[in-house]
Amino acid sequence: MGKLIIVRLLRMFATLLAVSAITFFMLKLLPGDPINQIVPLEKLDDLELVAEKEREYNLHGSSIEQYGRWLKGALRGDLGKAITQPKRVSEIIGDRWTITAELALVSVIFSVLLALPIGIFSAYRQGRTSDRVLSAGLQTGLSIPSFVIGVFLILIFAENFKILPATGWTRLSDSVWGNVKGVILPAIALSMANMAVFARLIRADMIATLQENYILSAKAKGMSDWFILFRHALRPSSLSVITVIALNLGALLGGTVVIEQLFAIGGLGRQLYDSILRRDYFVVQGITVVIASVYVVLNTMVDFVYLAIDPRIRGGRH
Amino acid sequence: MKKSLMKLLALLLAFGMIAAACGDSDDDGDSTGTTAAESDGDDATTTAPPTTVATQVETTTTLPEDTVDYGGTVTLGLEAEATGLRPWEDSCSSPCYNMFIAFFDKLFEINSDFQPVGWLATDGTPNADFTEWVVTLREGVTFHNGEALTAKSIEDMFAIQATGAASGGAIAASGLGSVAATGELEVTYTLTRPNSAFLAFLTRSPLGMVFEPGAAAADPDGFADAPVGTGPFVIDSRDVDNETVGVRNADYWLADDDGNTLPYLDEMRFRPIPDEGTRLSSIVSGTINAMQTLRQGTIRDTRDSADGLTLYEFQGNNTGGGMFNTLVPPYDDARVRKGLIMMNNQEAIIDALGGTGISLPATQWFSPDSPWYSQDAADAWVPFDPAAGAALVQDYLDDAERTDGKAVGEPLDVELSCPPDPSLIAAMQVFEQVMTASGVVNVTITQFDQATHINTALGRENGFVGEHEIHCWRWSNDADPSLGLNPEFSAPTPEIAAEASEALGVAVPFSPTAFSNYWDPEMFGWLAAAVQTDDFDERKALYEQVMLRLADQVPVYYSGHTATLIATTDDMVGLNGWTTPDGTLGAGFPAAEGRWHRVRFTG
Repeated sequence: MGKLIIVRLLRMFATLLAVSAITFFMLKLLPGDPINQIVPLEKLDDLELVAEKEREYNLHGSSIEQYGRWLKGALRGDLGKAITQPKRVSEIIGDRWTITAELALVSVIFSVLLALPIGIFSAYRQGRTSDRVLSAGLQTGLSIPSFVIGVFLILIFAENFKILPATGWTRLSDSVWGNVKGVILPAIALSMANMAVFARLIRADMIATLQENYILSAKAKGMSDWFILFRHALRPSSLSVITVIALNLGALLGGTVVIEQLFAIGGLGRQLYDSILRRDYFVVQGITVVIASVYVVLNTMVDFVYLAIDPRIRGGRH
Repeated sequence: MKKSLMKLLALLLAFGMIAAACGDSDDDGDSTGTTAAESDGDDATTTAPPTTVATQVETTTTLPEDTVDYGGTVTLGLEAEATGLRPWEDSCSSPCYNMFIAFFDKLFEINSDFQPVGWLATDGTPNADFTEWVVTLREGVTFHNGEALTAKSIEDMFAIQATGAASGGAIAASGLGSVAATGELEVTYTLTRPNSAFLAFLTRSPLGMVFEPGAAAADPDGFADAPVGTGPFVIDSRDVDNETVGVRNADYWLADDDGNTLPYLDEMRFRPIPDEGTRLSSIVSGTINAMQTLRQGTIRDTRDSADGLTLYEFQGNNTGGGMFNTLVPPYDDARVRKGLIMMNNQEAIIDALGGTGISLPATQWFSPDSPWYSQDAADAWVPFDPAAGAALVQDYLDDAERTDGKAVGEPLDVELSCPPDPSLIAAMQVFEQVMTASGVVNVTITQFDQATHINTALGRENGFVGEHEIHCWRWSNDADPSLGLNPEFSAPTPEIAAEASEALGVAVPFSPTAFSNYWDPEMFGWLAAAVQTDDFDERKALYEQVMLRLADQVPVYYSGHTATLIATTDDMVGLNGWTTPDGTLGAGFPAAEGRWHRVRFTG
């Protein structure tokens, strides 16, 4: 067991190392030199100034040397200096991660809250018209890109009914009500595709569970359908969806890029997008590594949960 | 029966949602749909005459009444965030300028004729050869931290500006050598070369915006989020990419004509909303009460949604278009450049950009309402005539001396490149279709993000020649013509600068931002002469010669002048018709850069 945990942890660090290296060298492949963003265009012929700025921003030496210096700093918690802002990358991430994390978390909560009744009801009404209608609806939810849903939500709830803000973000520390109002539309837009996935998973697992003998036995005892569904069937049908939720939470951090741009929310996703456009290499690198870390850590945690609950994995057979 | 009812209800609900989304907003009981600021009603005492600012668009507005209505918050949706609020370090374009001008004052403002007039300065006087400028500061002005504005502040500012990323370029371009406090309120700017247009540099960031040098020196990085200026608003909070809040500067030095202290507003909130559609949705929904845009399509859409909004449109000198890399064959031949531009259907391109009825076709660096506009240059500009253009290109193709190294008669291969904006892509396709239809040109279209697009044209890696061919670009602004023209048409590479200096016997500066690489010693002479005189007619004649030469040699080309817009709710006035401290009518809202110190709500 202990050996397995060590192996999993080593694998996690190896993945993070690979992600950081791939991101770093891919950014290096982009056309253009980041020094053009740092030194004013009119002064690019001042070679001394260019060399000084290259040293200041870790742009001197070969790409491998640059990566080595970045990695050394990263291990100490210093992800480098941003090019377009007078801040350290870790400071920029620190300013914004709570926004994106809250958005992703609320989105997952919305997804689960919607997916549970839909999935359960679909399974309960399996094969009937209502099940087919809901399945078609879920398919639609899965197919429509989140930004399209976002635009519709803005049109309906902001422009027409004027009950929710079209854009903007209020931090929880500034105003709870302002924060709640601001998170609703982007979180719903972000949650639709996940909701469809979760609902389909719940439905499939629930259908399988409802075939079990103990369910038939409960029915024979005269228990009500709702009691059977929620007390006996839901719990064993939730394991796979819990795994997917954990994994999706990591993926959602990356998925916020478009939604944060659309709703003008200054989170990690928007910073990532802006930094790519502005060639702010170290910010892109830092945010990518943070998102990858969350993903990998969640993945590893799921592995540990499996280790804890499944003796076959502990035995090394999987 | 129950199922059918449920289905019917579901259908009705879905229909209702869709109808609500598509229908007009008719619940704005207080919407009046004006395009002009309105009077205050009963308590109004005087009405100033209307002022027309833009050209072909309806922007007739009345000057604000002099009744005082203090209070209120303007939440302004901007198309981009300011990377920082340090005038010496952070480059600042239109959206950011709205923020800068809330926190900082400038030494000089521009009036309705786009000429510098005193703001924090009362006066700026040159010596005979324009190598020294003495600027006198206004008395009794204090920074937000209580420090007094003196000549020493400006001298200390220069020490910071000299090393700034943004101001370094402006110092080089203006020829500024040193700044000295020569009195309590007297500052002397000494230049390394004559510059009769030097005051134009003091009307804008990075040299003209006045910041508190002590605070800037103490924490230069922190200043990016906590600026200290003398402006009408004091920074309250800054959450980058979310919201920056400025509160009323209770000690602001400027008062209105009746002696009421400015500003009228309690707060200015700046929200960067990069998506054009959601920015418009935000003002329509009431999430914000003012927005700015530089996109023609958004101006069109805002006009369509103008219920309850006042639209401040402006059409300035800035124009879209592009350039040829004139150091690279076949663009080193004027026949090719001119021939290709004869295939540039400006009207169709403006339409593709969403600017029909909004954006005027450009023929030069000046719009028709600019004092620098030249009718002769407009008449000389290359007409849309694809057949004549193809004939010119054919002449090049049949020339045994053609510079692109291809066989006689072989068609041109050209690359047309723009950033990947949908409207720019549509415009490129219009141009590409006409060129391809000519039968003498093979066109490849490329799109790269903005940073790559600029880097390709900059060409630091190949001696500043660049790797661009036909490259989308923007030209001109409403500042003095020398600010844009001199760097663009100075020596484009260090080698050319050295050769030209030797040949002409004068120092010809190398300009890394001479993107079209067009070097014309005679034109350089006109541009140099234009900053050695302050006689407007003489300067205008020189710039007219430059525009005529550009029409003849076509290193750059144009689509349409860029219309810009600030939209506000119609209970807000004062964005237009503001005056400078000496009572001169100001420039209004050029390039969607609003001056918010006199804005107020009419209740």
